Amino acid sequence: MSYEVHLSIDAKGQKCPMPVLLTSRGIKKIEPGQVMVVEATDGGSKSDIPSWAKDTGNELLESTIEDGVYRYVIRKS
Amino acid sequence: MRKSECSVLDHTSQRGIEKGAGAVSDSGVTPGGVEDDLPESMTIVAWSGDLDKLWPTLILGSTGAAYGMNTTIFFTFWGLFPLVRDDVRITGTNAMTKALAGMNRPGMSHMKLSKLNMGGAGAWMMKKLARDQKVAHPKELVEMCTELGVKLWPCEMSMELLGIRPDQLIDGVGEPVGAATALSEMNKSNINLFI
Repeated sequence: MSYEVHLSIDAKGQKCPMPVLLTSRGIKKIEPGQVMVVEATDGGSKSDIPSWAKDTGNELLESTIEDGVYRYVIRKS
Repeated sequence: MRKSECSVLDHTSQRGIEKGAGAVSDSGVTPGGVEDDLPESMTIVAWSGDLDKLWPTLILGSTGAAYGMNTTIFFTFWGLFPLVRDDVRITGTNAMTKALAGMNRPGMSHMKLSKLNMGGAGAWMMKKLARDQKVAHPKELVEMCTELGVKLWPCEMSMELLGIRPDQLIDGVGEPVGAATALSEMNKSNINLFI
């Protein structure tokens, strides 16, 4: 599925907790309903980003991995 | 006789209602409802100024704020020295507090390891490892903390004891507070840590 992406966050190469911190910073910059993409290589993000989305009430639309890069699509609620 | 019994009953039942009403207003709507309405909250007492203690404190603090938790870090005793700006070489108001700062250099860049510091070589190696692995430096994490709204509270009493002035502290640090303020925050917190 494709979404209109309002913000892309590059957290590639950064270790825990930076991907979550950058995601949290990013979500403040977009409006409810808008979509943000986060790319990370840290394996911890695999559990951190979904649990962050669940706890903060934002919607994780997609979570994929390609060539060692995790890609998370999040909609601000 | 019957009338007086009746009035006693009325009185007790009324008191019962009042007591019930009081309990409800004390805790909000219902205990469950209050828990849902209040944001999650975490307070960390940063008592140690060691690199290997303050580092995880800052990781947890910034992550807590990223999770939307109301997060407070209360810096006390040795935890205060890293909050001093790196360019402040010596803190202290008298010979003893100056000597203390001389032996325990203030500043986020001058933290030591609690184990295997080896005159600073251990701390240097740890920071090099972190840099190579792209783990965020404590300085970067403090900036994240302030940006994400973590309350960084220095302990007023410790500051006076150690001779550290508010103008010697890094940007983003709140007003010095007392133990009661820290405790009141801890009382409201779901997570309380002492590191």
